[in-house]
Amino acid sequence: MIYIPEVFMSIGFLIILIISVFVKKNQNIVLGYLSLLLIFLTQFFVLKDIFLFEEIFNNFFVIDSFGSFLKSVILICAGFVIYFYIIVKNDSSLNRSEFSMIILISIIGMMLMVSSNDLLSLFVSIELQSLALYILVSFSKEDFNSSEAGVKYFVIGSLSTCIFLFGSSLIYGLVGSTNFSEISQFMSDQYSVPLLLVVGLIFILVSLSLKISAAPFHMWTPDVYQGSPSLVTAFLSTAPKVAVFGVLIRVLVYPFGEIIVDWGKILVILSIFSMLIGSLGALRQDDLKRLMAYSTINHIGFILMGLVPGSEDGITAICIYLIFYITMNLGVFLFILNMKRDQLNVTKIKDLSGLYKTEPLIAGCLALLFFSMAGIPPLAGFISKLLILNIVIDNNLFFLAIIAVITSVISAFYYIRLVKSMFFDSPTEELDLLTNSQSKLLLSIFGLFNLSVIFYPQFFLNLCASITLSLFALR
Amino acid sequence: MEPFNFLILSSLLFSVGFLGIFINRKNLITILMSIELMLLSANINFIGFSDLLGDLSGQIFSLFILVVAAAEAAIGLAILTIFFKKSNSISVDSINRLKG
Repeated sequence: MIYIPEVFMSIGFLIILIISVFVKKNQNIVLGYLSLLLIFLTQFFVLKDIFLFEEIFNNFFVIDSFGSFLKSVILICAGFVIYFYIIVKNDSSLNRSEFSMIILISIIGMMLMVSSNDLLSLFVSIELQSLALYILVSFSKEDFNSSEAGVKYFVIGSLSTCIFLFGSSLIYGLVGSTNFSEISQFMSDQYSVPLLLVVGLIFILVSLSLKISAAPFHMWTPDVYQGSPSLVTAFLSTAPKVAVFGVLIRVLVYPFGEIIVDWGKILVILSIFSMLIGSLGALRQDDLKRLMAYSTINHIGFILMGLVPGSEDGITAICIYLIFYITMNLGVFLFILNMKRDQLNVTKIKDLSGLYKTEPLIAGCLALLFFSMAGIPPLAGFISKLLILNIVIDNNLFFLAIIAVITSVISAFYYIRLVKSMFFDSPTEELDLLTNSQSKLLLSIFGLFNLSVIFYPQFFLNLCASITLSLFALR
Repeated sequence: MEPFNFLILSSLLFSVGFLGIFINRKNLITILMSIELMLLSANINFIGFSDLLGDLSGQIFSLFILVVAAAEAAIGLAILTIFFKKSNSISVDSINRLKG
């Protein structure tokens, strides 16, 4: 048994499905706890073999520490989201037992994604996660916006699948195999790279950028983020992004590492567009979830920038950025989940005003998270941005670094506007937060984490450096 | 260029599907059909290349695509049904609530 985490997860999922029939009372809560337990146990199996390297199932999947690390991050995200689901009960339309189970299916898909070593297994696992995500986005039957977001997400997701398939068919026709090792072999044998291969790679890149919402392909992001239930948005903005970044790094670095000249330029364009649109688009938003969507696009641009040199340091910085980005995003969404007025969920920015007067602790933590997203010095977001900028400048991409800094300043403006509205505006109408002690505690933990990372950045650096080593080890 | 004729066919099908998604302003079902068309164009490519290379794995890939396309169509239709219940219309222009 070498492929333990995914096999365990799938079997556990089926068992939970059977158990769900016999649970009569509080079905969704009980199943939520069971899923949380399953995620914990799977996390144990992932961490147990984190330094193992093996190619399995006839080279369809590869187990290495890079994949295992991303799996563990994905499991942590999903664990937090399911925990939010259990503690914050503000959306009655999500009170169905399937919710946590569909999250489990999508995690299985993501875990397979980050370890797949063949275009076929990659395609099937991407489909597994996105089919589950389509359902999650349109989960709320009562809310019209949710189903509209579902239609949009479905159309864009399927389009991305089709583009991926067309690209991989071109690559298959040229190489004669869909396996990453054989594609890599083919590349190193070739004297000059055939054009068709680059076209195929561009197709795959476009499809993956549709999934991570990098900028020219970002149109769906604000609508889907706003329309889907807040809990689903929290999930959508963390775990799938990590998984797709894992795939992007694996595909670009390993089989297509030889043509870095070609994909490097594309990534530069993608990241410049993402940073510009992410920072400029958010300026005139009045909805907090839409603003978070643009902030995600901005962060994605930053992360893509670290991949441009395709070096080991860059990928280390990306891993660190992903960890910090997740903590910030989960914290902010935990707050958004708790926003409520007159029994209705509200997500407008003006609802934040005067939060400091009623809930000083929550306002303080939230301000920490927003400052961290903006990259204000002692916080976690600053460290990750610093690392990425360091990589970019080391590789003499000065124009990219300049654009990154300028967009970072622009984006600091709207984060600080949020903080100003929390601390200095007089409250228009009382916002009744669902103040349960667990979410207060979690929010302060997220805030404290972002504050305290400056004292032990070496831990994350060493961890991520030892993780990325496995990507570049000789195969 | 005889053996590569299927590439022309598949590219045409792919373009038709792609344009079908973006030009069509009437019907959401048309979008589902366009997606199906694009998936099938990838299938034609895989099978054609598989024949050309004398390698079976392309045909296996196309079988997988068929299976996934069926699952995707099922979920897409389910989402469309929910949408239709809410808005009483399946025209593309009725998807206009979310914007900013």
